[in-house]
Amino acid sequence: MDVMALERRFGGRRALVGVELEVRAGEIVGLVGPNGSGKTTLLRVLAGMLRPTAGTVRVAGFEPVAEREEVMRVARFAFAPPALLENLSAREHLEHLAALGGGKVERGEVARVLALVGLAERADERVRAFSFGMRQRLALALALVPRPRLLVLDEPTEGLDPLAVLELRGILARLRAEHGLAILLSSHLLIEIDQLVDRMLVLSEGRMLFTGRPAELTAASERVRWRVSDAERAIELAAARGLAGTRVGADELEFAAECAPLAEVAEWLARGGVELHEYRRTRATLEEALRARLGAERSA
Amino acid sequence: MSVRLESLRLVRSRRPLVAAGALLLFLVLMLVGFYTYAQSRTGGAAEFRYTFENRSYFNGLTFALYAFYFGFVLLLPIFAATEGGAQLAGDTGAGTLALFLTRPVSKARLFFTRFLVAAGYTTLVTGLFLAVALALGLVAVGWGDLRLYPGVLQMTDRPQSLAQGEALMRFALVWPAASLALLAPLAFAFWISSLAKSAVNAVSTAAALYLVLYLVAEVHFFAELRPWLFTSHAAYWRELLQETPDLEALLRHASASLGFTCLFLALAFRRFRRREEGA
Amino acid sequence: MRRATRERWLEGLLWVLAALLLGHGRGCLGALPSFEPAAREPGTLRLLTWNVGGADDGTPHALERDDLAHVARVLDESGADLVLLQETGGSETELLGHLGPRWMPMPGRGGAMAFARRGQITRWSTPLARAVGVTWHIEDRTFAVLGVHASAFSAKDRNRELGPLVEALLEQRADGHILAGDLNLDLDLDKRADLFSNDLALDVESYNFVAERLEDAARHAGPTAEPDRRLDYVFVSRAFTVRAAAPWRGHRIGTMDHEPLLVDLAISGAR
Repeated sequence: MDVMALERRFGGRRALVGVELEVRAGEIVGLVGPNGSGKTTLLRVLAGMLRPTAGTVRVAGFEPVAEREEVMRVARFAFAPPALLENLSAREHLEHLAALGGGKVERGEVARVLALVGLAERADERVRAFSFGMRQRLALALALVPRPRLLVLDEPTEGLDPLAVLELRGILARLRAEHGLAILLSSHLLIEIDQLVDRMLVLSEGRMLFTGRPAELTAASERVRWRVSDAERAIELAAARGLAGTRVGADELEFAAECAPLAEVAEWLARGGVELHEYRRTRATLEEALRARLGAERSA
Repeated sequence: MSVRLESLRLVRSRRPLVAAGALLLFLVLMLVGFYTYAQSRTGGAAEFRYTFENRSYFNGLTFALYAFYFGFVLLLPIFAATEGGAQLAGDTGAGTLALFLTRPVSKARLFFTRFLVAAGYTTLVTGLFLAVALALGLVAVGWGDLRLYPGVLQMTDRPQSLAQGEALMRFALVWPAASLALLAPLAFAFWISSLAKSAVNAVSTAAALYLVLYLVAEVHFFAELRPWLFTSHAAYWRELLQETPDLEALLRHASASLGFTCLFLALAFRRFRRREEGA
Repeated sequence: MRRATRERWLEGLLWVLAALLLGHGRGCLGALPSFEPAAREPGTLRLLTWNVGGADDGTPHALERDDLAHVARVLDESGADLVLLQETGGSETELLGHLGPRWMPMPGRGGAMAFARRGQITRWSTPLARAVGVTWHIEDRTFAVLGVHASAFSAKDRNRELGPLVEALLEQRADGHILAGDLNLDLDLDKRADLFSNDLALDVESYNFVAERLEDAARHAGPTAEPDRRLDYVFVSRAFTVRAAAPWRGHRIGTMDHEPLLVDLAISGAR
């Protein structure tokens, strides 16, 4: 999937501005952003349901609006909340919808996928009796039959219990590893994203806030903290060595990640009459790093 | 394959049951009316009145004709409007349209499959309604020859009579002719459905507009508008019950009905294939 | 072909089909049929019936002096062989003056009048005050013709009038029988609700009575009087075959509310 300089307007409002995205086979890309950031709009543009105002979009080499059928032969989309046909059972969903457009479904594929998502025992019940979590599972199952080359999931973990979330992560990781699927999944819960995705795109008010590996987002937030016996004296000694520190507690100081190593610091602090009780590296969580970015973006 | 899916969805929805119940109730009420009208109008002095002077006139075929005619004028188009309105707008409002648009199936196929299933359903309901009316007439009264008088019955322009066998054959032809006439309100409802965002809005708008156009055609002031209203052509199948049907008039009205059907389908399809989803 | 192009073609096909089918159906989409005097088959007899009165703010009145010349012109241009008028209001002499000597008049009662351009007409007595009964001798045949203006306000009166009138007509020994005029029976055969009859049931009976005995020649011709009523009729016996029948539209003037109704009849030989 390739998205270049994508823009989408709704009247005078710009829902997406200058968005660029690339998803390759065998990788999982996360799409992150607060509510109203444009995630669903982006997914609908990728599915050919909305036309871009500007920019180009290619999914497996096809243009989604004009060549939607070709896109849907290789890609599968699951939007949130999962909209299903209330009067049909889970099995009927898979059997009928998978066959739409002449899709070939292998024998036993439906049963296998239902088992994979944990719906095997409820396969013949009408969907109207399903809980939200079960509907999410069925939506995922629909996205897997027939197996696509690209999987796009909108908030796939919403409504799932922690165990189910773990199972989903396992399924997606296996699909990537065993079948080389390209996966794009959106979420507003970062804790699920950062452990699963290879790269991520962060949107805020329709603009790209960050694109890259999750580790790159948090790397900039790395710091070193000293807990010392005399904070004032320690700051003087550090300043004499060209290290700028800030006091973050009664006996705790914080320095940039590039400050001197532990052994060196301990030695010249001791020579200056200060005991070093603790030396540790800290890094912001993904959420903290993102919040900091968002805050910086809004102030700008 | 999508025909099977749409048929399954239709069968499992409540719409066929509601339609069947309403039409059956209508037939029973018509039968009660047939039996009690004359007596109530004459205070018990006569069993039958004006066009029912002759007892042989009131038979199962006449009842079936009356019941089908009045049911056709208002009930069946409303059911057609309900079915057409529920199709596209139902999935749009429920968000389930995305289920289909994220499959490798064209909007054309989605659209025409739904119309085909809805048209088939309408045809089936029409046929069943006619068959049940005939059966009820047979059981309640018994069949005879079909004798028609102009005026109140408003089916023919001069006294006519069709032998029982011939009348039944003509009724068999009335079924496809009436079904074809119902395609126009069905397609009209499809058009409304392509514009609406919920099934409730689509169905109520389509039914209301149909009733308005029907009533406009009834009012003398708008006599010149009548040829241009699709509701005016719907009852052309009555020509089949003439002793000598005017085939040319029949074909012209059928063409007009089919023409309106194509017109509304063109409008609906244009809207559906060009619109964005989730905008 | 790309899918989007295919869909455009499909839509285009629907538009074309709509245009073709609506075009084919335009016979029932177009204007109401109107008589074409020029298109006359040889050997036919042309009959015209016309209520030449009017209604001024709902108050009916007979033929007005100002309209005499117009009526005479219409009769002349129509090519009719026999004319039956209603609501002439005693202006028969003046009307004849406009028509000229080619026409043979036969006044009836209550504003009903007959004029013949071809053949000879002799009168016979009718049981109604607003009627004219003539025997029409033309081309070695004899036809009994009754021009009628039935009650405009009471279905019961119409019901009472038409029975004896029809019987009186059919009692005439003739090669064929014609009943024509303003019968004020607005049955509205296209199921629309009637606004002008005070008892539709009786009007239906009246129509049924006549229609069982004679053929309604202009049954497909549409309305004959404002605003959308078919009040004027020509009923013929089996001696005739109807070749053309329609109101001749666009010839009402002033406060007139009826169009002239014209019928071309061929003599079929049956009696």
